[in-house]
Amino acid sequence: MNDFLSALSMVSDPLAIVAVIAGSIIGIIFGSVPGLTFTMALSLVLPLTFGMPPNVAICLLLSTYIGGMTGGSISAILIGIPGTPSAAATVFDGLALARRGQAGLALGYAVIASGFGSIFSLAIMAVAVDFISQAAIHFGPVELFALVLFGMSLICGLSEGSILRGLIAGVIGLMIMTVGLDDLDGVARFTFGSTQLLQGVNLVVAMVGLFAVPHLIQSLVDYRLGRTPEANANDVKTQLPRLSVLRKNLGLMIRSSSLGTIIGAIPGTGGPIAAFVAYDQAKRFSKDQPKFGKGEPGGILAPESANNAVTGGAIIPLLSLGIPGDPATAIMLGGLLIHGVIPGPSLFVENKPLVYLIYLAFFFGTVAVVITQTFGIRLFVKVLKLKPHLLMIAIMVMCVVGTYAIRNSFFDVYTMVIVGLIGYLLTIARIPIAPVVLGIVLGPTLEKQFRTALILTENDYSTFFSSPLAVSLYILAIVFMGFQIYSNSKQRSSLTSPISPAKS
Amino acid sequence: MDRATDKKTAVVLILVALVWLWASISTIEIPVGSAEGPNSQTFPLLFGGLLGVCGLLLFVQASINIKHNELKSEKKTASPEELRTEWLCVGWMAGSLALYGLLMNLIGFVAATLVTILLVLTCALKIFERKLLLLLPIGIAIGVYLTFGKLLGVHLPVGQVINLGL
Repeated sequence: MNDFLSALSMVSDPLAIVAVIAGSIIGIIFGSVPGLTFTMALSLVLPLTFGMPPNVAICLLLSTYIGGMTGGSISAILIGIPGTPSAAATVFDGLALARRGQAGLALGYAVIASGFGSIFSLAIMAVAVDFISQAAIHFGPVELFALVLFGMSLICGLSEGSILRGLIAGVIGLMIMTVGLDDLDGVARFTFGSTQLLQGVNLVVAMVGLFAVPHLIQSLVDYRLGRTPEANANDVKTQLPRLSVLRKNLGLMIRSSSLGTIIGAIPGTGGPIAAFVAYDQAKRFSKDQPKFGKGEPGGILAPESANNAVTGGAIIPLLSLGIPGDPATAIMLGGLLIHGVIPGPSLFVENKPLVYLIYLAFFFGTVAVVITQTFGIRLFVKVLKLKPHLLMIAIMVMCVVGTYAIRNSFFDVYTMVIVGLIGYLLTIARIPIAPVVLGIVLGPTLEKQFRTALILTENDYSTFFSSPLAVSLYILAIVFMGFQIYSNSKQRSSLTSPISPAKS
Repeated sequence: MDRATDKKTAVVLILVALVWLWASISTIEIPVGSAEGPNSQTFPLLFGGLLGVCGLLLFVQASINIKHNELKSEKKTASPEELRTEWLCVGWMAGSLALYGLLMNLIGFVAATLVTILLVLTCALKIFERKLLLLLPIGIAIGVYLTFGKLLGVHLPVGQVINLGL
């Protein structure tokens, strides 16, 4: 009880409240503008949290995350372009309802469903995290190595259809993180005599470079080639739905939120998968199937509750095991580490108030996002109308200021540019960025636990197969990769199979 | 077009892997007393080797006539003019970001922001509207200075050569 009260006092701090509101606004803005993402918002906001106390930083990051996931529905409904990939399924019925002159009601459905999904996943998160961390507290270096290896195998899920490209990206991320001082031997690696490189490539600098710089380059290219579309969104006011409609769809929202939480907890999956699976099950089990795609409330309530439930689900492996569920939680992992918070089983023993702080920040962040999006929709519509090339200039300034602010180092700014160029070249080569982030985040732990396990057993390699849990994780990793390879090849063969004649 | 790009990518990856392996062997010292078992060189060598293997696999994949590669590339091939513009933009953006960092060091945040935004507007975006050239740099510079410098306490550089005191 004392731990909970301590957390409550931390989240009630005036600065923390301001951070929650600011984070929700920033998240919604980045989520609602197509081309910007909440991952980019998190990578830009993260360096700015350095000077903040941990409670304020956590409130800012969590509300930005939730706001970003929720904000995607605004442009999906108003202009038919999802602000984030997670809002793609919302377009079908959201845009249809907007075209019938009920855009305000569609936004109301989206914001209520988003709030419901987030709170539902929070409840699951609070129970699951505690349970998993109790089990994980007995993990040694072998189990941790196996767990991280399993996490790395989920690169397949992030590899956008090509496992080879995902593997390339993951290896590049792993290579980037070997630069600097070796943790175990204290040997300098790839520093070439530079004292600044001794600290390695800063995680936040790499994130900003990988997520923001390619976007900046692409914005400039689109502008110069005349490919920038104008967003034509009319002014609108959010209209909250009737309670009777929500009661009628309560079962649907619970099912969708459950799906979203489970999918979010599996590293490598995310909002888009959850949203489409939820939409599909909503339509399949609906008595009004023909109405889907024409403005059916369930077509908005299902994907929006699912995609927001992903936020809580993704935090489960992050808090309990220290394994990020997606790039956004990978950035949040970076944020927690910077503030001296090491997620994983030991967190629940050493710093329980912080765990409760995260739960409370998640809750208040959700409330703030719902209120902000409901009453501030006119502001977000105005932001949607801003010209992308002008927004690009503001983001460019934030990139440089943010990376400089990390260590007051111009070296970090130049590193950001180089990593950003690498990110853009990877994009041209159709190599995904998300596995690079996974490699960067998990690489140090992978190496450290492997070498520690061998040091403790005097180089006895059989130790990696001595733990039943570790062996189970290896098998799971192989099964998961096999399943991904199978589903990718099935997808490819459906592309190459001859078109069957239409039935008359 | 996609297969040609994949082959070029594969060659670059193999070259990077070879350079990485050479750098791992020649620049990373193995501490005395750690002859057995993995050491500081092990994982860099492993990753470099993996990258090289992946590059080879990509080259082989691009060389074999796999239908799905061709079906997937519905993207229109860029014209030489578009490609030239794209690479110019890469140079512009990378150069602008690096220049911004350099100028911040020399003349401080506010002056560097004004100069860089003006350069980007006029040279990269070819915008010469007077109102925008005046308001946007000043608005962003003041906005960021007040929000990040004063409100959030982020340290903004003051400049080694020209110091405006801001």
